[in-house]
Amino acid sequence: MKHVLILAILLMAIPACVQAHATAERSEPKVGSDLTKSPAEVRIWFTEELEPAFSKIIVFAPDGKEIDKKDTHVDPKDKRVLIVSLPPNLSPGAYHVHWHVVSIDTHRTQNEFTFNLKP
Amino acid sequence: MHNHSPVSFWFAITRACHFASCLLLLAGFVFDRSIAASVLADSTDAQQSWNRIFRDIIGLTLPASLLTGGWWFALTAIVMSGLPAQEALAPENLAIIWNQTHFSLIWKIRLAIWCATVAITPFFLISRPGSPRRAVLAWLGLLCCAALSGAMAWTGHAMMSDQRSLHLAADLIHIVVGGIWPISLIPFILLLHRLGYPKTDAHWKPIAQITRRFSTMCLIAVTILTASGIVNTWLLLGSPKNFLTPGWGRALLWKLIAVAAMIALGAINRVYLRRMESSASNFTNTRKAHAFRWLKINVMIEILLAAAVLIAVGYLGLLPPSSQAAL
Repeated sequence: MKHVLILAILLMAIPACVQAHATAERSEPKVGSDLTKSPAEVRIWFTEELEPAFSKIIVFAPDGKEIDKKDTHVDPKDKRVLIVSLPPNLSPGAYHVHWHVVSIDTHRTQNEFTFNLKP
Repeated sequence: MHNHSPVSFWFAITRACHFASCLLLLAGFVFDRSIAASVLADSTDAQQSWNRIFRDIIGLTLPASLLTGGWWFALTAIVMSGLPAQEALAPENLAIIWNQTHFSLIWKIRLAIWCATVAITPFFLISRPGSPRRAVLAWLGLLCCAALSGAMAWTGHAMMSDQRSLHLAADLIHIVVGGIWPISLIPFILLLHRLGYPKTDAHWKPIAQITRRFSTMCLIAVTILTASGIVNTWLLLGSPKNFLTPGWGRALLWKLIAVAAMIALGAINRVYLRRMESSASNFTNTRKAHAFRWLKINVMIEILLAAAVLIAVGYLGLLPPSSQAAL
């Protein structure tokens, strides 16, 4: 019994390496980055696999209008990556990216970030 | 940033009710196979009492599991879509969820298993007690109910794990064994209640046998639950200090406290039972009546604690685990 308790305490003391509820791990363009070249797409890597039907990225131009191509999709090679295309030759300014996703354990998360396109 | 839906409370209660109905159905089959089939074979009265109880359990839990499962699906539609209830439950949105999500795939599989269980139970209920046909149907029913309950692991946090196979296995075992202990305490107390206080040694014998066998079964179940619970906790908690953080960690802590109290009560029952057996010859009727009453009270308290555990489980599935909070 004593050994079982020690094992239990040891197991609980080891940090686990799991996450649940999808959160953004990284993105391209990077959060708060300054770009000199217009990006062709916004790509976000999440911690979990996503439900494509309920996961979306919306990109707003400096004037507040949505400028993405409304073609948000999950990377067929990696269900943790969400992508939306952008039109070519974006004008300089601060672009606002809003995302909301549903992970396959049905939980919904959302967040936003900006990137800047320099003249 | 997580979306904390106002439906969380009712969602947790719905999940708890669905777990309870599926696991109680499983517990009925487990009790039938492990206790009733062997211990009650010699006692026609006791066997008839059990058959009536089991019929009532099936009559209650089969519709309840379908109803709460449907309600769970509806609440998931609201949470997944992020829309107001009226829009989320519109046919076009439900069709997207039904046709395009992982959650609905698991729900479709579970619905098929539920239909199989419904198909089996009438034949089971009309078959002659003790017959080979009834035994086969009971085992089939048990397998269906274990699958119906266990499949819920595929919609939970285990799907998010980097060690998915290990986590799914631990979750599956944890859910299914929950149908043995603590949920089968319900058929146990119902049978004790139906049999009534044993006034003679002949009446006392089957009760002592049931209690002894049930106690051993529960001891094995608690051991397996503890092992699978440790694995789940290790995979989701992140660090022991997260027990004290609000949300998932604290809900888990309350669950563990309730489980510890239940185990302590179970241990008291077991010690009490051993004392009764060791002093059976000089155990007076008054002391037997006292023991019987305390056994029932302790089991009732255990069942109330089990209800609290199920509500905690309902919440735990909705909250982000502590390991994520560290991100």
